[in-house]
Amino acid sequence: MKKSVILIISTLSLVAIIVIGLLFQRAEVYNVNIYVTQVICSGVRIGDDEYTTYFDESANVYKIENPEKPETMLTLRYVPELTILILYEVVPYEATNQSVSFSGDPSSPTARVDKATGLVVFIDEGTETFTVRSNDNSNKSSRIQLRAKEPDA
Amino acid sequence: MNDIKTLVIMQLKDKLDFGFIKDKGQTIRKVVFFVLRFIIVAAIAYALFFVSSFLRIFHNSPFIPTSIMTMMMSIILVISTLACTTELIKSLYMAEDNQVLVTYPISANRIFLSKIIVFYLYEIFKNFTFTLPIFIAYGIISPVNWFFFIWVFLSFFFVSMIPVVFGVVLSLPGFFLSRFFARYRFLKILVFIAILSGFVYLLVRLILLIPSEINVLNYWGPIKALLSDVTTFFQTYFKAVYYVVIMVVGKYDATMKYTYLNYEVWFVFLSLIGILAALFMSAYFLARFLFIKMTSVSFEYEKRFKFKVFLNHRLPPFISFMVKELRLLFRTGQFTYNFIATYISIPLFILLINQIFASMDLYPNGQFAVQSFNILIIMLPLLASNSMIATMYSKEGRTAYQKRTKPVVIIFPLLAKLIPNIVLSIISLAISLYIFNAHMNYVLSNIILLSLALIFIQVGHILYCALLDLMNPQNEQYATAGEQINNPNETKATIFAFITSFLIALITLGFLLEEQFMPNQSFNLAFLKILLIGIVFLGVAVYMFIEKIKAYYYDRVS
Repeated sequence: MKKSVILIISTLSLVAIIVIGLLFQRAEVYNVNIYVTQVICSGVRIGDDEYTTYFDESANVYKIENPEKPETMLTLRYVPELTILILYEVVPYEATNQSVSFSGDPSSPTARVDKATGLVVFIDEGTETFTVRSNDNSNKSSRIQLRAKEPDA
Repeated sequence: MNDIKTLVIMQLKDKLDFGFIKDKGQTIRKVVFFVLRFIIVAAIAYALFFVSSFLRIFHNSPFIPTSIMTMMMSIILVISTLACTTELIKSLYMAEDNQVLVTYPISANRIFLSKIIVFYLYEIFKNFTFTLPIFIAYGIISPVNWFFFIWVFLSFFFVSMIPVVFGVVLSLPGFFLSRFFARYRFLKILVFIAILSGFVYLLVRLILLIPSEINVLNYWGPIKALLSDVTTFFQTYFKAVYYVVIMVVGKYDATMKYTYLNYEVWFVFLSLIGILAALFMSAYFLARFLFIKMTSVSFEYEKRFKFKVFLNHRLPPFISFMVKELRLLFRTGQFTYNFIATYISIPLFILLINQIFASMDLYPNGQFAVQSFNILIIMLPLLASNSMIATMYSKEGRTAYQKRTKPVVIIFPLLAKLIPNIVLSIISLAISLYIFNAHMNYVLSNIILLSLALIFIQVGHILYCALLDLMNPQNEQYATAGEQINNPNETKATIFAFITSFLIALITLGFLLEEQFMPNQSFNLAFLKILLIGIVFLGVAVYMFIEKIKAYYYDRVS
C-alpha cells in the first residue's frame, strides 16, 4: 500500500473520531454548568521553546522557572517586540466553559497582552504581571509575572 | 558528465513514464494533473491546519507549532529511508539491468553514480508531489517570511538527499543481512514470524488498554494537551529532524515570526550539506566496490541447494498453476511484506477504531455514522491494497508471454495468480467483521448479508484491478527496471478503491438512515440492498474480466 494511502486513512480516522465524538456523543450532564475551580499558568512559549512555571506563594503569582536554578525566576532576554505565549490549564478539565481571557495594565509602557490569545508583546525591558481569568461566572483567575531584560554588555 | 546524464535518463524512463512528452496534449494533461494533485494535497493540509488553529488544539493557541512539521517530517523521513534502503539493495546489487549496464563503454563507478542519481530524482518527484504541498500549506497559515515561498522549493532539493544518502549507507549492512537470510531461509521465516507476532501482540494489548469510557467533549482539554505533548516529544527527541524543518521554514524567533536571519538556519544548512557529503563519500567508496563485485560475478545468489527427489504427480491444470503461484509468492517474499502487512493491519485497525467508538455513548445518528465509517475503514485499506494486483501480471516481466504458449484455458493461470489474495483478503475481511460485530452485536442474518456484500465487492475490485493490468500491460518496464516504476494502473486502481469505498460507506449510511436501523434489530432490508449492490458489482467485474480475456488472448469478442 502506498504511503499516501496510509496517511489518508489515518487522518480520516482521526478526523472521524473527533467529529463523531463532538457531534454525536450524548452529553453526560444536562443543563448543569460545571464551573472552573482553578486556572493554572502552566508555562510560556517563546518561539519554539517552552518554559515551565512555578508558583511563588509569597507573591501569589506564577513565574517562569529558571531551569538552572529551580524555584527562581528566569529573566528573559529582551529583544524588540519579544513575544511570549502564556500557556494555561483550567481545573476541572470537564468545565463547561474552558475559555479564559488575558489582561494586563493597559497603560504599561513595558508590555501589552492580547485579550483572546494570551500573546504578550514586550515594548520595553522591565517586569510585568498579567491576569488569566476564566470566562464563566466562577471569577477564578491566576497571575503570571514576566521579566525581560537586555543582557548586560 | 554527458554519459551519466544519458544513463540517468535511460534508467529514469523505466521508473517514470515519459512517453507523454512526445504528445503535446498528453503533456498538458500530465502537467495539469500534477498541479491539481499539488493543489489538492496543499488544500487538504491547509484545511487540517485551519481546523487545528480554529479549535486551538496546540497549546491552547491559534498558532501551529513547528513541532507539527517536525512530527510529520520525522515520519516521512523514516518511511522514505526504509523504502530507499530496501529499493537500493535491490537496484544497486541485485537488479537485472546491471549485467547489461556494465557492458556499456563507461566505468562501473559512473553506472553506480547514475543509479543513485535516479533514486535521488525519484525522491525529489515524490517530495514535490506530497511533502512540499504540506509545507506550502503550513507557510500560508503561519507567519513565515516571504523568502520561504522561494526557499522551500530550493531546500527540498537538499532534503530529498537525506533518505537517499542514508539509504546508500544502510544498503551495505542491509545487503549482507538479506544475503544471510537468503542463505538461511528457515531463520528468516522464524525471525519474521517472531517479530510479527510480538508486534501484533503488543499492539492488541495496547489497544485493549483504551478506557471503556471516552467522552471527547468532556476530555477535550486532556486530549488537546496530549496532542501538544506528542508533537513536543518529536521536537525534543527528533532534534536532527527539527533542525531540518528549521532550515526549511526558518527559526521561529522571540517575536513569533519565522526568520532566516538566524545563524541556526544556515549552520544547519551547511552542516546538512557537510554530513550528507561525508556520508555519501564514505558509502560511495565502500558500496561501489560491492556494486562492482556484484555486477562482475556471474550470479550473486549462490545458494547451496539441497535437492530433494519428488515423484512428479500429475495434477489438474488449475491446481498446478496454484502450486506454482504459491511457490513463487513464498519464494520472493513480496507476499509476506505487502499483503500480510495489509491483511493483518486491517483487523487491528478495526479493533482500535471500535474500541474507541465503544467507549463513546452516542446518539442513534452517531451509531449510523460509526457503522458506515467501519465499512469505509474496512474497505478502504483492503481495496487500496488491491492496487498491487494491478501490477501482478506485469511483474512477471517477459515470462508473462509464456502464458500464450501454454495449451490450457487461459483463465487458469490468470485466476491462479489472484486466488491467494482473494482467499487471504476474505479471511482478513471476515476477522475484521467479526471484531466489528463483537462491538455492534448484529443479529446473525444481518452480519452474514453484510459480510457477503463486502466479500463480493472485494472480489469484484480484485478482478477490476487485474483487468487494468491486462488492458495496459507494463511488462517491459518491470523486466528492465525491477520494482520501482510509476505504474499508471496502480494509481487508477487506488483512485477506484477510494471512490468505491466512499460510495459503499455512503450508500450504507443512506440505507441505515432510511431504515433507522439499530444493531440489535432483527433482519433488516438495508443489508439485503447492500448485498444486491455487491452482487451487481461482482457480476459486472466478472463479465468484464471474461470479455477482456477473450479479446486479449483469443482475439475475439462475443
